[in-house]
Amino acid sequence: MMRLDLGTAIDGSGYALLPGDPGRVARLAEHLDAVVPIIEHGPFVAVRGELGGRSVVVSSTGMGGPSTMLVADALGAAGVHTFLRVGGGGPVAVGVQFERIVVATGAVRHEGSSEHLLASSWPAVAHPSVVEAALVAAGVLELDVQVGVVHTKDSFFGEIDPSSSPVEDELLAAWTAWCRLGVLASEMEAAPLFALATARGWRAGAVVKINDVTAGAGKQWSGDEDLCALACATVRALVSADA
Amino acid sequence: MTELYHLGVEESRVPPAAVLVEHGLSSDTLRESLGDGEVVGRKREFRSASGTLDGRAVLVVDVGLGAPSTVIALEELVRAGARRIVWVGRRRDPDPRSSQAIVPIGAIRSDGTSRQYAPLAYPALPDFRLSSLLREALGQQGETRLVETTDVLGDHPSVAQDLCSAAMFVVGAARGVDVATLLLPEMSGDVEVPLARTILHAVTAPEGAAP
Repeated sequence: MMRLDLGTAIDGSGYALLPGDPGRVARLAEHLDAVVPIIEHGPFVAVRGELGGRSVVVSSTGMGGPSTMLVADALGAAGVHTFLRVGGGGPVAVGVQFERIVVATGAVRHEGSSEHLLASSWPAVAHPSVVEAALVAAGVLELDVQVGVVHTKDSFFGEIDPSSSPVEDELLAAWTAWCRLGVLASEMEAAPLFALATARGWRAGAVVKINDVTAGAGKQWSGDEDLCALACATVRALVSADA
Repeated sequence: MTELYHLGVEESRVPPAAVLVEHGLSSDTLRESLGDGEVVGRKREFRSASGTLDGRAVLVVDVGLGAPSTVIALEELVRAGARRIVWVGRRRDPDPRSSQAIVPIGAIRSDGTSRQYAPLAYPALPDFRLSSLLREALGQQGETRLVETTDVLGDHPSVAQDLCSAAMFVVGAARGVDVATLLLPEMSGDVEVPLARTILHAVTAPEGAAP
């Protein structure tokens, strides 16, 4: 199995922010002090810095469960105990608005990576302390967030263009179920991250901004400044609660 | 006037707040914590009593054992207007000396009922804010963890088991209502008075109320 050796580079950081997009690392790092680069290689860009007086790593995961698990497992092996995914996703249930931020309480395991960690019957659940910290942070920033379950998928085009898949009927039936179950957003990394945290005894959560590729047509994307601010404020709240 | 088919309760007597108590636990302290108490249904394994807490109506329902039966009660209550529901059951433990209550943060879906509402990939989770109210009130006296919901209790389970949480959580999600559960130690009889009041306050708090 491929491993990323991050060991000494993270220098005792216990907290990690995990965007999918390497381009988001710099925008998150703007909120940190004493930023030091760690790695820059393909999908994997990482820096460490300080938030609330504690050392924090910001590392991109690339898209999807497999690369997310590689990064999170490597960081965890090096000492990180608390992970916050920071990403974008599409809306699922009716009423989830473009550019709304969702704080995930759990994730639908519509993906293959988590199967290697937990039996299918186990939930992919965010740690309640991370959810609480995100809600505290949202309150401080006066951000109106939605709280609930996100959908994690392995197939991007299976979501936005299911008719292109040979298992179209299966995908559409599943999507109908997620809508009826009130799932808020669809993305590609939360469930394996949550499953890994459960399996290893770590903490994980996710904040996801709705950036709908299809329904966003004609709408101007305003950027992820609020998402990055929320993510960093969440880590501050965790550092404070953990003290 | 429509009577709920299995519960035997008139639909109009169902308030937004309900507490379901697993067979084998006593609901005495829950009912005694309420004013204006009245039995409003007695049918099959179900006994329903209405009452008020600080002027807000609550229904306390003694239910049977197992998710198939308990979910019938949940479904009928929701169809009649229930919106915040707590199920109180027993934890069945690898360590029978476990003396703490559990507020599950989620449940392993080893039951059959939840699979008839959602694919297995869907996480069985309580309403976050409702379970937070319970968690906050219990503090150090409660454990926060996953439980395994099963239809047949195992001889040597590796995690605490129960008979309903996963199904209650998934059906709650399917119906868009707030559901949380609370598990008491296996040897419990009655719900202690402070805990009974905590549960009643939690279900009668407005939707979205946080600790």
